[in-house]
Amino acid sequence: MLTVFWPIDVKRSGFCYGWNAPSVCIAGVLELSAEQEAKEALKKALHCSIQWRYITESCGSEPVILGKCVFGVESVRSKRPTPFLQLRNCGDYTLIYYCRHQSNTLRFHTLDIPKHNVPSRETVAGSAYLNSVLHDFTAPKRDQFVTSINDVVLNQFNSSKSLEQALSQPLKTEEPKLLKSFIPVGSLLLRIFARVSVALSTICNFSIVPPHLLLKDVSATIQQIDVRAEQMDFFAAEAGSLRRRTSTPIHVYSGRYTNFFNAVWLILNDIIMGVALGSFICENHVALARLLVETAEDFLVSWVQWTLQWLDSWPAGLKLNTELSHFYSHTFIGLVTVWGGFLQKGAPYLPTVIYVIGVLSSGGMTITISLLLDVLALLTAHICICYVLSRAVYQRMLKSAGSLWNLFRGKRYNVLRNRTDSWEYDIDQLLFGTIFFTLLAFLFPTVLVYYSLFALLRLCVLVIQASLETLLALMNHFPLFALMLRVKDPWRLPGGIHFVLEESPGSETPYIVIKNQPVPLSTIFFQYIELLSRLAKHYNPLRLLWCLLSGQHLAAIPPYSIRCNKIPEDSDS
Amino acid sequence: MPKSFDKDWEKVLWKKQPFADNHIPRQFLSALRRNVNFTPYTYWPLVLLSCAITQHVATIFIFLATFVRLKEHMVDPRSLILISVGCFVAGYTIWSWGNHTTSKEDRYANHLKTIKSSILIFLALMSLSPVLRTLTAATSSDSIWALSAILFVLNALLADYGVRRSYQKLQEGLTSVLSMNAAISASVVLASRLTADIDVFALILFSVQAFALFPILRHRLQVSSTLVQFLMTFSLALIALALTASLSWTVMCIFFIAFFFITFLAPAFLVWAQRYKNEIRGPWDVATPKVN
Repeated sequence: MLTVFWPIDVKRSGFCYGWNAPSVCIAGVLELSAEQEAKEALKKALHCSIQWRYITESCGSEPVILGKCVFGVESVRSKRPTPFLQLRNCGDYTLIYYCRHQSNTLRFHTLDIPKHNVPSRETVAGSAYLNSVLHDFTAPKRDQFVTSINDVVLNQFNSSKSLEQALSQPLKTEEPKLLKSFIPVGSLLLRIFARVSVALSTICNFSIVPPHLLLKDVSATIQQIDVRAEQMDFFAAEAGSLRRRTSTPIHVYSGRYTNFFNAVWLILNDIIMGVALGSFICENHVALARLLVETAEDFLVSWVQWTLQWLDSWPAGLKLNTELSHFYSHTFIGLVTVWGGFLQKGAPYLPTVIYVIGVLSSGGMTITISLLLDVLALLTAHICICYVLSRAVYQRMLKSAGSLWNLFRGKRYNVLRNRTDSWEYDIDQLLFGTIFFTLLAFLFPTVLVYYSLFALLRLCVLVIQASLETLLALMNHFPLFALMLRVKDPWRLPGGIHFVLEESPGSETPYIVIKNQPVPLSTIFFQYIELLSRLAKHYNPLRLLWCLLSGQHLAAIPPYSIRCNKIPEDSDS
Repeated sequence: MPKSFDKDWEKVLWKKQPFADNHIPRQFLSALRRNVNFTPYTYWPLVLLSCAITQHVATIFIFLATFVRLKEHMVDPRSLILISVGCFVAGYTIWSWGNHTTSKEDRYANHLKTIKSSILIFLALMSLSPVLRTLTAATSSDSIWALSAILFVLNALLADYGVRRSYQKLQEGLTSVLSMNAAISASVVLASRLTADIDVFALILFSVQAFALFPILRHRLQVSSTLVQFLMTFSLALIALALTASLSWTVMCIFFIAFFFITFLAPAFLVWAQRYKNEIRGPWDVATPKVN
């Protein structure tokens, strides 16, 4: 019993044309009287149409006239007319209906959710694994299974409407309507974009302390400007490729299209929110400045000084070593006072700075958030310095305690072999170790107390920074366009096909229609899910606790981890 | 020997036997042996062995008496330093005199090494004594007494009282190092009650001398004859009692009772408790290889 794929919207009788391999797929019907005429029309259309040349390869072979189809009189009136087919080399057949879409609507079929990020086994190219992959008989290869429906058949489905258009209007090429309005405006703009983005990228990637510390590592604003520069670069590159509608396969084109307009929407949304926020900031810049100065004075300077004095004078009855405690508290109070002096000097300029921030935020809300991050980093710089100093002492004490423990056990760390070996120590080494140990043991509570104060302060600042960075990352990557598409027109985000059994009231037998399945939400949000998992891994509370206890540096997440590139391989369609 | 036993019973379950599966044979536990390697303690050797403990405790008492004298300014710290240095020289001479193992060149190198390290420790302690004085200066005196008592008890418990046979090399186990740590910490804690830096230096030097270096000498002397052992124990105890007598009679009596208990009464108690020894061995124990 032969399976024949029939387009659901064809209701005329005539000669049907389509493909024979890998299964019989009928693309359309030519309403002509003689078979020879039909063959000639088909051949002429194929050789004249430009776009058809690009699609032929994906459909496996050139379409041929398959036979004749006749619609019965009564079946024309029913909703789903059933044709009678007289095909060349077969007798019995079953019909499976499929939908044809115009190419400029960007709807199409695929067999599977496009996996762009996961490198499939066949694409691990150039690695030593490739040779063993060839001999791996457990991995199912898609070409092994000769099925009735595979990629080629779906390509035939997707191109059937274009074939019909090629037959009726041979020389016309189609482009999506939306893009037509963009192109005349854009080309000069794109050139400017490209130049500006290159300039900005070089500035942002300027390294302060070569080779590791780049300018964009230091400031979040520069990082955001770098992201914008990358986006401009992306526009410049992509807009050109979007013009080549007919020569790219439809799934690649659709992916690029969605990506491009996602970026456009995102940036426009960003700018709208940024303008709103910016106008609010500009209106209230004086009040905000005063609020900021007061809060900074209260929390960051006076409170820290008060706590340091409290620690110096037997906090909660805990007696710390007097000399060391005096030294610590005097040093840190001095540092904080110096910083407070800077703040006081800068306070008159603060309203202007806030006004400038408000003006700049018309570049987008992301710019506002990154400017806020920078301001926060500047304001809490003294806490960072104090934290680094106390952490260094604490970590050094912990390391000495570790090596003294080894000393007492009669073991020594072998640097050559990277392990602990047993070792005989002299009696005077043991004595020195003992004396040093008593010093360490009695000075440790003082160091611990001062370290924990600044570590907790740093943790609070880090939590605020983390939430702002999360917000920034989410705003930079929200798949707005793909979501709207999924709601409005699921055919444009296909993630597989399924068969639906439909009943027509008039006829006796139910029939099967191929419909597509939209992409699941997890694929649309895959960037988000990855981002959130990275953030969760970095800011895992257990990990932070361990860093706190062992004296490792509590750092914010490196900004590259929460940035995905905008290059089309990373599309979300 | 067991009087009766089930002849056909085998200790296997994979054979069908005429007995039930949970049958207890009459030769059950016939292989049990009690107190196989038991040689009971006798009194006087035990007393001799407990001399080591008495010596250690006597050292602690001497140290405490010295501390009290220093605190009350009854003794000049400089003379204490001289005494410590003198004791160190005397002790080192005795120790190297008993050292028969190494050759002449090695001995000479060892002497130089010892002189170098002793000068180093001397200078290091001298430079660290101001820091050590103020380490626990803020703590109240009651906590200091309690802390030092705990640390000295820890020192006495963890000290190495074993006998080192045949001039073994100096190998410090973890517990003996910890006990030395506890003693030095106790002396640092006590030193914070003193007022002048030189007092602190004298005390710490004396404590290093008494708790780190003296045990080595004691181990060396433990293998020598009984008379030397006994003499040393007696002299140390006497010094402790004499030093304490001029301070307080009550404490001296307490110390005397302690010495008496450790040296004479505790071994008697141990010998009496031997009658309750019940060590069970059997074929189910881990086999001990006999290496000849």
